[in-house]
Amino acid sequence: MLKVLIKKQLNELLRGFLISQKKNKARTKSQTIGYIAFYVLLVYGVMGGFFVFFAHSTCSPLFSVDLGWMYFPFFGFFTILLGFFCSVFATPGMLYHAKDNDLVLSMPISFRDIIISRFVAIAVMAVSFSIPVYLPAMIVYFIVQPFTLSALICQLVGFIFTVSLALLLCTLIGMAIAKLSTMIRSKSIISLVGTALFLVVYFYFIDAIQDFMADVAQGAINLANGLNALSSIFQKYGEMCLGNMGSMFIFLGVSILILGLCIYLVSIGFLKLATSAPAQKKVKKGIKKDNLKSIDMAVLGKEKDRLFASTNYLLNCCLGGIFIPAFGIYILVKGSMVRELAEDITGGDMGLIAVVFTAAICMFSALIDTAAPSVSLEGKTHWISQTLPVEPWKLLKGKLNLELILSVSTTLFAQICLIIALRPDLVNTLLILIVPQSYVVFSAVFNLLLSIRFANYEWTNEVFPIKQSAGVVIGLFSGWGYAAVLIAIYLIFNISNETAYLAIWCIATICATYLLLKRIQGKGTLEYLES
Amino acid sequence: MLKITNLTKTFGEKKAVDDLSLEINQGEIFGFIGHNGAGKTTTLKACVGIHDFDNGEILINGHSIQDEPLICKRDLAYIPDNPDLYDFMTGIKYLNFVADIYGIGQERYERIEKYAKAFEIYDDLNKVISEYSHGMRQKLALISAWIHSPKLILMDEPFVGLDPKASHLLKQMMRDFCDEGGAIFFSTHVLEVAEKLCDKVAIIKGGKLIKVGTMEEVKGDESLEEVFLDLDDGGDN
Repeated sequence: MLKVLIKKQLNELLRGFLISQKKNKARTKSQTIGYIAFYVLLVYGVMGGFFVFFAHSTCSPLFSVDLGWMYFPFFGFFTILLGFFCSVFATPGMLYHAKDNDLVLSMPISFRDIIISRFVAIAVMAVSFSIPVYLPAMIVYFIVQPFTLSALICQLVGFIFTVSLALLLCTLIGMAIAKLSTMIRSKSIISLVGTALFLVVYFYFIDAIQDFMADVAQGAINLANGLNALSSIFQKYGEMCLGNMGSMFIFLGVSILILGLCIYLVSIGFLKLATSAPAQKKVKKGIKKDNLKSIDMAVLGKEKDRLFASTNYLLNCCLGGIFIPAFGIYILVKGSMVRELAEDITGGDMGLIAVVFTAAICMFSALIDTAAPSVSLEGKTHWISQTLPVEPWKLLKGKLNLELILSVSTTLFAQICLIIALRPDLVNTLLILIVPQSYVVFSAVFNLLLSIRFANYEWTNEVFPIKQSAGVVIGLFSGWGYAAVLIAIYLIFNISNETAYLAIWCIATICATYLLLKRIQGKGTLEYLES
Repeated sequence: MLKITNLTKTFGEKKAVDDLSLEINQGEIFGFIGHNGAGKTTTLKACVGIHDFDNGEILINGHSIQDEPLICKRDLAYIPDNPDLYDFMTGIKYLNFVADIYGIGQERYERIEKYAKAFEIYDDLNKVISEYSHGMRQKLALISAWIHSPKLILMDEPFVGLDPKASHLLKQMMRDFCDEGGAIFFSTHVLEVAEKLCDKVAIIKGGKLIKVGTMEEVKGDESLEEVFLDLDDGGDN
């Protein structure tokens, strides 16, 4: 039975690869392999590429100053961070709020099998997000250091250990979120608190890493001095990953214990959390008369309500709504330092600074992608859209407008902060304003197109369209790709006239946006209604 | 009000609806009965524009659902067999959303109050729909259909999940609606309800219409259940 349940969970996880939503038929083997290869290339190519670069610039310097043991703890930390943050928001939904909980609980299936199968799905998700961090670290390590089988085995155990820690964090936070949602009436409060906590941890971590790297680079301190208990574990972990087989067995044993603990923790609260009704608001009786709305406003209001009612949707597709203003505030607060740093790096070349910060804003704004899963999120309520006397374009426009409102306003705030901090000349000010905004509009339109193209109305948990649909993944990475290409072309072709470069880039983006928009208004609306 | 001519809809190799023709006139309650998988839901979905179809024509008030979908949709209301509504909205928000789309003014509140009180969900309208039971969702879907005063209502198994009081009320509302000039086309498995309520009835099997007419024409002196079972056996042989 466990095998069947795990297969069902994995099928759900991989549904987008296995089933063609358009034809509502299973894909052929070659199509499935093609889709998976494309996904792997996209996610692992972009993220993996970044971490290869990161590992490459870290590995040799650490080993050259005899601090090689720090290499794997450093990447292990990133592995935990990514595995945790990419899985934690999905954990309550996949464990406690899965739509088929009632069904499986009513069947003669052992409780243990239900929990293990759910947990395996979360583990697969955590592993898939952890690999792009850890694997590049391993590859670079074996390029820089001689290959030994013991090091390979130890590093694999190191990977299992980091993933099990990420899963423990996911389990604890997932339980807390599920518990809170049965106590707190408004789930958005949880989202807000969770996101705020996330930001505090995130910036604290980034700040600490920056300091740490600066110290290592300067070789100014002996980091081995003053190691505390936690650091000592880091050191043991780091030494194990270099091939210490004795420690390997200890870490493997601890990993198994952690995974067992996770399953135990889930099992003690599962039944209560999975079957308890969410906290209900005290309902006022009677009808409050609202102002009448136009069709456009009604549709936009519906999309807004959907976003703010879903913790998963809010945190996965609207995180940029917090990140972008936070980025703006950070730039504003550390304005003089940022300006000096930028001038040091670029030799005071304001054009280059404009290109780099434009790309940075574009990268952050890709974190708002509410349009990408919006069509799939209609799920079983898609019949409502299909039967309303509204032009399909107006229904799609509501989804587009929601993303535009969120991304244009937050990006504008960050842009203003950036302009105040950097004080560029008039032309660069205009470019810093216009280029990211043109990207923001392009990104929203592109996300909507992806949402139509990869629409999937058959899901048992909203996590799947929000987190794992091809549209969301492509949308997110294409945003980062856009920023990377913007800088890459500039650097590769050694462009001297940044103003002209950004202006051409901007015009190209606007033209692409127009073409995509026409595609949506034409064929896209038909695909949307007929799907 | 609704004219279906030679409707054919296939899913892959399978003909879900095969050359079906029907006409539903103003003032009529038209029952549509058949086995599970006979093609009832597919026909209804084609009529409201959810399913495209391969052959035939569907006219609502003289307008083609394929060529003039918005005009057609403005005149009709549809309630599916499983009322999946926007779980994230409160009941009143959902009704306001529908009313906004159909451009209903302040008179909406009078209608909402009337029907919500009749269905006994008035006090629950400020709850989010995710907290509603199946029956409450069904009632909300019914209210949303009635508040914009359509000319034609299509319903797929509308009595499923309703309590006896609400079922009785729905039958009364259906009769009143048709007496005031509307038309209703609904599918059901409850033959007793169809027999008592419908002016006309059609029996569908394997996508083909096997009998259609007024209740008297279809059942004669027998009960509708006997006729249905006889036709079903005959068809099988």
